[in-house]
Amino acid sequence: MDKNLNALSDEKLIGELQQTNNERAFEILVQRYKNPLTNYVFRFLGDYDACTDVVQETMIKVYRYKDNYSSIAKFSTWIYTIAGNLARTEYRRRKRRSFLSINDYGEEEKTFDIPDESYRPDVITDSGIKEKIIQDALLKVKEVFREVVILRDIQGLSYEEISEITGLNEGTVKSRINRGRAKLQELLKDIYKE
Amino acid sequence: MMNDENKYDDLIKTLKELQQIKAPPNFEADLKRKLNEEKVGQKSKRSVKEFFVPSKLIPSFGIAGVVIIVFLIINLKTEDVENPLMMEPKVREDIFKVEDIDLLQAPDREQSARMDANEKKDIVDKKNKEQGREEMQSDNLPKSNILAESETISTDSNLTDRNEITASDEYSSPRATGLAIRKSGLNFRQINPTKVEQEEIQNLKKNVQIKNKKKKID
Repeated sequence: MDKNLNALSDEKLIGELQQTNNERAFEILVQRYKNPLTNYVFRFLGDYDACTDVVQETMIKVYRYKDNYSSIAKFSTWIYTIAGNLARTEYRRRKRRSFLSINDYGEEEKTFDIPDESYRPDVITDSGIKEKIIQDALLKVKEVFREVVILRDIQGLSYEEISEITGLNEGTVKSRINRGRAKLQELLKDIYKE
Repeated sequence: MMNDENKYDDLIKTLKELQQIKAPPNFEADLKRKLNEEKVGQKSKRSVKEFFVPSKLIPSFGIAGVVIIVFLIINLKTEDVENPLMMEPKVREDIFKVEDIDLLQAPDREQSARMDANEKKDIVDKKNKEQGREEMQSDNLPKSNILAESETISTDSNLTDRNEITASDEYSSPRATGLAIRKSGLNFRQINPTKVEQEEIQNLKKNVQIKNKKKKID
């Protein structure tokens, strides 16, 4: 039974969950998407704990609103859309909070970046410093550009999928990706000089 | 588009080489725990929502209404029943009934008063005539003796005997109206009626009372 479920596509598994409320089908979907979503949300937020919470919330929403999924769309785009929305909400909430807390101390800077203190020992690799610089640079890119760049260049999704996830047309997606890349390259020019 | 891809080739390569961030090992356990909490929360929410469904609300409102009505009925009944310890004792009507005397005597007060006055006038006139004769005989007696005699007469008189005074007498008498005549205020002689006269007075009184009773019965 388990072998059969593992062989099923995402859409079949969610169909199984909808029809028979098979918990195992949901577990398989969680196994398949927990790491890609964690990677995507972490690159967007820059905080591992917050990213874990967002991904778990995404899974809970998938389970709770499983009946809202229609087989017309790809399951991957549906789950990425949920995760993207939650990540954006969390990012704005954290930005607002950090803005308020900094303002309380009387600092006058108008723009703030999310503090990048979430690197954990298990995440840091040999090229840890380089990764940290790239992550810092990513967080400095505007969220609308950052989101599409991550989806395209880190997650490896097609323009069509990104268009479905973000609800933008493909032209806008490509444009935003280019603008995001340009900004990122500008921020990372020192790395390339080396 | 391809030019753009080439333009950012190094960047794209760098981004793709970034280490994949993995979910924590306790991710699924935490997720299960959260899902169970969610289910419990949903159940409680559902039970609250189910309570407010019209199919359940109508009977519950009905029951509540019945309970209120029953409570009101019981409450009203309990108000009627007095606490025996808080009750005032009843007046023994068979021993003393002031209201009955009033009902019997009050309407004929004036008539009886007039009747009494007329009868008394007649009696007094008769007495005066007799007394006039006697006075003629005893003109030589001193005034002090007369006064003393009158006092003894008034005190010993059977005419004003308490036992004989009826309710009608009380109402018609000046004492009852607050205008009591005292001995000192009298400027006429009081006469001790004879036994025959007393009997006549008694008979007249009885006749008056009988007449009064007959009138009341009619």
